[in-house]
Amino acid sequence: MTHQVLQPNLRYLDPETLQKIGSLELIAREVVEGLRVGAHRSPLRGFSTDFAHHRQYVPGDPLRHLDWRVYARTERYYTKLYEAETCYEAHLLLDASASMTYGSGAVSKLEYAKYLAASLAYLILKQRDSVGLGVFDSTLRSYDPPRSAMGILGLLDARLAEATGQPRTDIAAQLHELAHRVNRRGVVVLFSDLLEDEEGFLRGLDHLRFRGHNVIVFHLLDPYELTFPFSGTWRFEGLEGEDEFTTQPDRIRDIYMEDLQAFLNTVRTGCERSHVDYDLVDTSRPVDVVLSEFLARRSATSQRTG
Amino acid sequence: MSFLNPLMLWGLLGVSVPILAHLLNLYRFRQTRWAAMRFLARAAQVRSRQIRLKDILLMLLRCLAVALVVLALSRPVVRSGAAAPLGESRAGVVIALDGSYSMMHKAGVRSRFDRAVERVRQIAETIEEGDPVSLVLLGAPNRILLRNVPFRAERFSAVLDEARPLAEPAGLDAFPDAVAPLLGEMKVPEKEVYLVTDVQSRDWNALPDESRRHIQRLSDQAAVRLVPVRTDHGENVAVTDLQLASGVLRRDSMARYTAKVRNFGKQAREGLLVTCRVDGVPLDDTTIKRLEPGETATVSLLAPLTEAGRKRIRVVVTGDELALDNVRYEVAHVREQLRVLCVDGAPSAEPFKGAADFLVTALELPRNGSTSAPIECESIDWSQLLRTRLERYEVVMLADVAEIPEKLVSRLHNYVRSGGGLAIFVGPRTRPKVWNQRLGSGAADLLPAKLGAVEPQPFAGQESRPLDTALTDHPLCATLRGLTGDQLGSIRFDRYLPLAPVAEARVVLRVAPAADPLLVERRVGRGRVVLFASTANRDWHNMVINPAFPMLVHQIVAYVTRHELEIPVPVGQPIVVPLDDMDVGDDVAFIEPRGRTTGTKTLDRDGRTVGIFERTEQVGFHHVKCEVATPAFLVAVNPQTAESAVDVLEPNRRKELAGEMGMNVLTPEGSLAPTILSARLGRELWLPLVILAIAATIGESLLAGRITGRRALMAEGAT
Repeated sequence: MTHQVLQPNLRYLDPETLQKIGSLELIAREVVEGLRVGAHRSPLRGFSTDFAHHRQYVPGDPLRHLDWRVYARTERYYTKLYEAETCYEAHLLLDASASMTYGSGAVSKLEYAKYLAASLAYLILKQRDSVGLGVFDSTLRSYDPPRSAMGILGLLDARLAEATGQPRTDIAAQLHELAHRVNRRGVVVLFSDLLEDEEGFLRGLDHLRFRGHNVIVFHLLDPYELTFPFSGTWRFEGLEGEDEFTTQPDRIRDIYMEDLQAFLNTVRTGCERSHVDYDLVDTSRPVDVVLSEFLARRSATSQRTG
Repeated sequence: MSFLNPLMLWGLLGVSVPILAHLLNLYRFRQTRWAAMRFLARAAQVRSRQIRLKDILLMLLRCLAVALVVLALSRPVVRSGAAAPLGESRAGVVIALDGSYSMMHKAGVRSRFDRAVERVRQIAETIEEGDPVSLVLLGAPNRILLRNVPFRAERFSAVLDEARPLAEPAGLDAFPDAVAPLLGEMKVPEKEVYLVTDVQSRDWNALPDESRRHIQRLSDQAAVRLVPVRTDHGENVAVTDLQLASGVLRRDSMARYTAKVRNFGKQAREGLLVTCRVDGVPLDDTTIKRLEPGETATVSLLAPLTEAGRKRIRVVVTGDELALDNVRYEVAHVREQLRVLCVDGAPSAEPFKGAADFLVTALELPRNGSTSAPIECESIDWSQLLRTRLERYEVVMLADVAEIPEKLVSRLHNYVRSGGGLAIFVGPRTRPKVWNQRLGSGAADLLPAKLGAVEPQPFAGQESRPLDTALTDHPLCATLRGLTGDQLGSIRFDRYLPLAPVAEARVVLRVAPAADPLLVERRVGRGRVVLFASTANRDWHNMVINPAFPMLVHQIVAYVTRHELEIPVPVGQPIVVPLDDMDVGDDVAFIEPRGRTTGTKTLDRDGRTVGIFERTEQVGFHHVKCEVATPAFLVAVNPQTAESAVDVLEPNRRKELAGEMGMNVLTPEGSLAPTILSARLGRELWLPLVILAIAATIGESLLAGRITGRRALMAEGAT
């Protein structure tokens, strides 16, 4: 098995396969080791201050990275590129509220979030950076300050078990609280389905951005939630204490899809406006593919903006 | 509104199917836990009422479609009202065409039947293609030419071209019998019955109440219309009867036939020539100078029989509009010779003292001016009977024979069975017990009646008894009817044997006042046995010196020697040919006068082998061919003169009678079609209902598609 796993991109690690592995560290390694071979040596480049090399300036590059000294010497425009920062803090924030326990297949959104978070944590830890962990439902259940040891992966399971699956009240409040707790600027990665008042939550993101954090949102949604493929008559039982509701999904699908698109648009545009890195994740997709796409896009934007 | 298929209305229960499906759908659902309830919330608010409304609308449309289809299948009919113009005008038509032979009456160029057919064609013009139509030719029995077939003009016309008037009479009572079942089978909004007939007075005036009620009942189901055929007049003469009056049918003798000619018309007829033809050759004729209306003239016609064999006798009256009843047919089986054996049970040397002397004298009387006696008579003593070959004689007469010897019983029986005639006259020597025992029971059952004991004294203390002058209609009485009442009334009986006739026997003569049987006859095999309850001499009565006696004796000889097949059959009745020499199941063929041959098998009827031709349709001579008969048997089939009264009802009387029976009389000068079409009102509504049902189904599917459809509502829902 190990042999196979070490072959990069030979197969996708779908969430159900990962579920069988059990040990979160092993899962994270399997996901990440496949990715690390090759292009993604320093995926979080852009936040660092270490100079790497010069590159010819092209219009659109930020002027602040222009190397004026080189310009003075040579009258040519060069842009400075920096090596990845070796020591930054990442805060992984997991939503463990009741709605995250929904899963049309074998893997719930929460489990998927767990794999994704573990994989990302593993990746960060491998780069000698430190990872902090927050789990919340109605309140912030636990917060572990950043550290740079693999032990954090073991904590992840424990902390998730502590969450009681309470209906979520207010993500915004959790984000505000986190913003207050974390003083040093770092990266905040939020794993949630965001089924919540999007205005409040966007305000929370704004707060984090205001504090200088680099914010990444993994918006996890089940494929059923994305496509609403039910037919016939169904009774839907709310996971967060809503009244149950019987309907014929065929008849209301258009309204559902409409509302969903409106919601996604609001979230996406809100994130873009706040310069938050937003990624909508279909939980039926393989974790490594999602992660690799994310990293690829991330490195592209960081190169452009960094 | 009424329904042609009312039972289909039970199908309306099917309306409950969409309702049940709707209710089941409401209560059958699957369950899931769900996180994204927020997206359902708005759907619930916006759509739930709309969905319910649309669901109910869909259900109602489905119910409507089911109900409309069921209604269409039950085929509703409206007579008037708002829906009437939508319906289809369909009518089932039964046409009863009078096929009786009065319709052959032809005063001018066209017969009544030709005119009736033209009327039928006019009715046919009003029938839509595909509508059920029946055509019945009224007769005895009725011929159903078309039985509720979808109307096709060409086919109908072809069938009508084939129709010919029948040789049978047809009463009006045949009409409801023929039509009622046809009406019952029809499923159309409007039923029409047309009776196309010449409206003979005979039928209509004498219609029994029951038939009248039957016709009335028809008008409950259908519009019954009488279409009278125009007739020129009702004049007709007919030969109503033809009888062999006298003479035995023997070669070189003369047979006398009497024919009755009746004037059925309203005007006297003059100079009617009546001709008798034998095998097509006119041999005798006579002219009736004047025949008053309603009068019947009896004419005698002589037929010289010059050779033996089967002869066709035909009597024709000339010049008449209805040819069929102008002719009457008869078959004569002429024998080579006719020999009678008289057996005297008490011979005497004195003239007229023996038991059989009067018989011999009577038989030897020359007839009709012929030089030789037609009958060869031989008289023997009863003791010689055993030595005599009976087969040499056509008739054996026993007079006062005490008993038949045991040895002779089966011979005598065989003799009669194979066609011999036997006449028994009793007397003082007759021993009734022995006769009853030997010939009245068991294998040799010959006697037409059981003999009672001879009374020892002439009716003690009473007067002698007279002959019952009320003669029966038996053919043996035919000549006696020519005698006056005085002549018959002078006959007196002192004694006779009490007779107890057997079931198959017929009583010919009786003694007054108690109507005791005097002369009884029965058929045995192909022969006949006649039993006279008294003597053949003057011992017990004075009949032998009366002219009635020789006439009766001759009649007995003629009767018992008469071939069974000489008796004509009225048309419409079956021909039954006894074929004793053949086995059951053998082939026999009947050939009608117009040449059609019908093959059949012989059957067993009451112990005799017979060939039966179930229904005669043509008048004239029918041939019967089988193995044992060469040349073929001949059977004459005669018209039934009941139909010969061809005069028709007065228009007023006709209207009155038709009205009583619920019939409308249609007598337009020109075509019937406009009259019929203007009266046809019933409209069938199934087609508009089917169209509505289809519309409901399309509406339902459009609506359903709109509710579950996606694209169409996206834009609308977003606003």
